[in-house]
Parts: sequence; C-alpha cells; structure tokens
Amino acid sequence: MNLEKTKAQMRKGVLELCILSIISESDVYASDIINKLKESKLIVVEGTLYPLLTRLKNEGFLSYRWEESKSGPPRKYYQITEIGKKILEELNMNWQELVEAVNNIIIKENSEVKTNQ
Amino acid sequence: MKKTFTINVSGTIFHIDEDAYERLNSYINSVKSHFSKVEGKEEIINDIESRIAEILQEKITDSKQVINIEDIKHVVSVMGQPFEFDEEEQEKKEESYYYQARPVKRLYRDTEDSVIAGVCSGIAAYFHTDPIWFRIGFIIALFSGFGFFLYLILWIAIPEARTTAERLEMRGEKVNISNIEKSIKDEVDNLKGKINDLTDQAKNTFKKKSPQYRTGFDHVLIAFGSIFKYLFKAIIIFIGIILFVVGISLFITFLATIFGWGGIVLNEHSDIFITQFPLFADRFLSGVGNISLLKFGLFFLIGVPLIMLLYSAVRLIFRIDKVRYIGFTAFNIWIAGLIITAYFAFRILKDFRYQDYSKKEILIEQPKSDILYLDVKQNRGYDYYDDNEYVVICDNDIIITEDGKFYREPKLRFKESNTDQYQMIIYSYARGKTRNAAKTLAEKTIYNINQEDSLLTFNSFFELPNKVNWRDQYLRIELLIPLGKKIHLSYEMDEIIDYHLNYYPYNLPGKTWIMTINGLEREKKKFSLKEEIETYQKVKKEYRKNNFVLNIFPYSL
Repeated sequence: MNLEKTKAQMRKGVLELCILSIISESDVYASDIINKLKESKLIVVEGTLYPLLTRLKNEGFLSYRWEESKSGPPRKYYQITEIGKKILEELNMNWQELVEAVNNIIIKENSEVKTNQ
Repeated sequence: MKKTFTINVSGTIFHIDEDAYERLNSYINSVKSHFSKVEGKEEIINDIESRIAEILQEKITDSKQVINIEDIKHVVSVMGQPFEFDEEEQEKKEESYYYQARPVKRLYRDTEDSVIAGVCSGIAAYFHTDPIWFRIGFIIALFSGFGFFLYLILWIAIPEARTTAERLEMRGEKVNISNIEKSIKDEVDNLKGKINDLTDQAKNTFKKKSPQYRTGFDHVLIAFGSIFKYLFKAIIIFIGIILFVVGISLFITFLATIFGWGGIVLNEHSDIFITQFPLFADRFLSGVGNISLLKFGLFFLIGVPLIMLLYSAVRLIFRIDKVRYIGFTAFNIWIAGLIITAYFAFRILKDFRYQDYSKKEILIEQPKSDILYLDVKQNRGYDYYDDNEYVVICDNDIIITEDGKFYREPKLRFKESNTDQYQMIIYSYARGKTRNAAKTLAEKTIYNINQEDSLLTFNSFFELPNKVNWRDQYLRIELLIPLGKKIHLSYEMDEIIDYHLNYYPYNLPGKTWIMTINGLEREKKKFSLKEEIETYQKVKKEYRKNNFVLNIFPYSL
C-alpha cells in the first residue's frame, strides 16, 4: 500500500467541498483559498488549485469578478452561485454522514482491539 | 555582472536574470503542455501566471530589483511540478527538484546570420557546426545545377526563427555526453510522468465500472502506446527521407529533360521514351508559340508537385510546422501551368487536324535492256554523330539529331504500269491546320533519287528542312512497272520496301522480279546448277551477314 497515495486520494475527495465552503463564507481570491488550504495541509502545491477552480467555475458552481488591487495587477474574486450553494449543502450532508459512518466503524474496531487486549 | 531580460508576467514587469528566465520559460512551457488537452486551459494558465507574478512581486525589495534563479526555484516549489497538480497522487519528491522539459530542437532559418535567407546557418545551427561547410556545399551544388532549386525549396520549406523561443529551439542544446545523459534522463522522467498521467486517466475511467480491474494490464497498454508513438515518429522520418530521395531524383530528371542539361533518357526497345526536350520542342513548336513559355508551363505543371513532394519530405524529417498558404499558392501555380500546357497542346492539336499530300511524278530514263536495277544509298546523317547526339524513334523509322536534322524512311511500293514505260510517283503527306497548309508543308519535304543508266538509287531517308515542323510527314513512292519488264533489287532495298502491303513476298531484295498480270513474280530463267549453287551461297552469306534467319530457298533449286 502506498501510504502517500492513499492520503492524497483522501484529501482529493474533500478538496472541492473545502473550496466551496471557503468561498461560501465570503468572497475570496485565490491566495486566500490557498492560505487556508495550506494551513490545514489539504494541498501541497498551489498548482493543484487552479484547474479545480476553473472546473468548478465551468460547472457553474462559482463565478468571479475582477477587483483592483493596491499592490499589483487586478485580482479575481470568487463567489459562490445558487447552484454552488445547493451542491455545497449536499456535499456537506454527505460529508457528515461519511464522517459518522467512518467513525462508527473505526471506533467500534478500536474498542474491539482494546477489549481484546 | 549578469545579463538580464525584461519580462511581462500577467501584466507586471520584472527584470530577470538570463538563467532564471530560461528556467521560468521552461517551467511555464511544461505547465502549458501539461494542460494542453484540458478544457479552459488558457484560463488555468493565466491564473497560474498571475499567481507566479504575485509570488515574484513578494521577492522584489528596494535592495533586490532582479529576479534570480533562487526565486524561480521557490516559485516552482510553491506552485508544484505539473505532474503534482492534478490529483496529488504523485509522491511528493523529497527535494523539489527542478522540472525541465527536454529542449525541443527544430530547423529554422537563421536570418540574423544569413548570406541570402539563412538556410545554411539554420542547418548549421541544427547540427551545431559552422555554416561555412553548408555554404561551400551549396556553392558546389550550384555548379552542378540543382543547388539553386534545392536552396529555393529549403527557403520555402523552412520557417524563419522570429521569436527568442524559436531561436533557442533552433540551436537546441549542444550535443555532448553529459547532455545526452541528461536528455535521456529527462525523456525517461517525462515518459514516467506521462504514463502516470495516462494511468490516472485510465483508472478514472475504469474506476466507475470495476475498481478491481485497474491492474498491471493498464500499465502494459500504456507502455505499448508510448512505444508505438516513438516507433511512429521514426517511421514518419523514414518516410520523409524516402520521399526526399525520390523527389530529388525525379526533380533532377525532370529539369534535365526540360532544360536539356542531361543526356538522353531513352529506351530503344519501347515506344515510350523520354528525350531531350529542346530537340522535340523545336520540331513540334516552332511557329506555334514561345518555347520558354511552354517550359515554364511544364515546370509549373510537373515541377511544382515535385517541389511540394520535397517540401513535405523536409517537413516530415525536420518536423517543421505547416506554413500557411503554401499549398494554396502551389495549387494556383499548378493551375497556371495546366492552362499554359493545355494551350500549347490545343495549338499543336489544331496543327494536326487535316492531312493532305503533294504528288510528284519523277521522269525515269527507260533502261536499254528490259531490267531496271534498284539500290539504296545511305544518306542518314546520324552516322556522323555520337550515340548521345541523336534520337531514334520507332525502330529506325524516324531519326532526329541534336542539331535539329530530321530523317525518316520513305516507303516504296510496286505497281503495274498501264503504259510500256517505267514510271515513278512520289506522294508526300503532311498534316496542317487546313488542307492547303498541309499540302504546302508536304511540298517542303526533301527527297532525292538518282538515275545512272539503268541503275536507280533511292535515298534511305527523306529530310525536313530546318525550321519545318514535324506534322506527321511521310513519303510514299510508287514504282510502276510495265508488264513483262523486270526489276532487280539490291539487299539494301529491304529498308524502304513497304512490307505492310502483303501482296508480295518478303524475299524481294537481292533478286530479279518480273511484272506479270498476277503481280511481281520470280523470273523464270533456266539456271545452270553451278549458277544456282553460287546464288544460294551468296544469299546464305548475305542473310548471315544481316543476322536474319535463313528461311528461304531459291525457288528454282
């Protein structure tokens, strides 16, 4: 089993949920998203984010506007769309169920391991 | 001191060291190629570039104005290497080492170091040598004739190196051991990356249906795919080389034919032949139109497709991008050639429309005895020429010499005269736009017959005067023999007798014949046995000399 690979696959599944979630709180631009994701160690390299953002935008979950910046070129500010909100809700619910389900299994197994000892 | 460039990344100006620039350029190219098949690639790349600009902006301080290679390494480590982008399935490398795409090498014309169009310097840059060698080569090729056209083709086919990137591609990297090693390593890494990408794709598609089936089979399949891709490239280049060789030989043959640079290309045993074009052009075309115009027409009609063949070959070999409008232009030139050639063909065809003849009676001094001796004198001029200075058509029937002399054999027939005199009529035929033109042309045919006492000597060929076009001229001679009178034919008469008329035997030459009401017959004469044997031996000897099969026997023996 390739440990890093498995970890990466776990992260990958929730990445879209996290991005939508960050954007739903307030309008943000790419660096804000990157910083938050990096803090939580959800992404390793920034290059990962851009194709994802473009894909979410193309599917109509996100939109963006240009905003002037004091320290450089104009920035893209992303905001969530109505469809995006619905998708986020659904993904969120799915995530809660998943966490519960996974925890159920893991905790059960863990307690069994403990009792066996 | 270091050389710097000024670059514009997503609207921000940066000063950047040369080495840093090359790394950044290569990185961005590798990102571009990674996303080349993704929907919305321009947007992704723009976003990434503006992020790079942001990171670089942070690196600029009052004391440090120039982006250096460390900054670029930082950018690459933050943004990640292309294969790390997609689904983050790659293991993170321990040390973020710089991802470099293998430098692409392409053939360009180096117009900054050019004598004419930079073809030689471009080729030299491709092979990392001094342009002087190619220049010398071209000058030598120029003397042998095709250098000019080769240069022209390469000029058309090879694009000019305009941008910095193209200039870098033109030079590629110098070939030495460490670079070969590096390029092999890069290639392997690159391949690994691609295989991984493809594996991911394959997995993604298989996943939905049967997750357990994404086994080694996919890897094998993808590895085969890569092998086939490289094999395919090699085959393409091989085809290119073959096309080039074929194209060049056809082109040289064609030019030699049109402009008469080479010797005669002639197959005497077949009716189809190629020969020096000018020889025929003069005989066909004088008065019809400008021969140089026809040469251009033929050059466009046949030469242009050959040039296009060479052009595609060069493109296949050196992987040159298609130059716009070349095909379109070539097609138009070809059409122009077609029109010019068709015009000439039409004009010539018109000249062949009507046939007519002129009839000329030759007065024959009647022989004192009742026998007329017939002989042939060789008046062909080609014996004085070297083999490559004349052309033979239709098994000695027509001969054209290099200085434009035209010879053709006349055809002789025998008929019964309705008077008691030997008579001879010469019909000379020709074709022309009108009957009159045909007749006028026919009268220009030159043919001589000599008579000395009872010996009639025919010329073996009739001639056309210089500057008279060949319009299917031919000559028919009729010799009218009174009943009961005799002719004797020399062996050489064989050349001009019209055997297409099958009413007399094939052994006319070398014998005496008498005109009867049934046509020519062997003279019935009592020979002594000695005479018969002598005649037989003489015939046998003659036929052996002429390499004929001896299939006749004197009738009276």
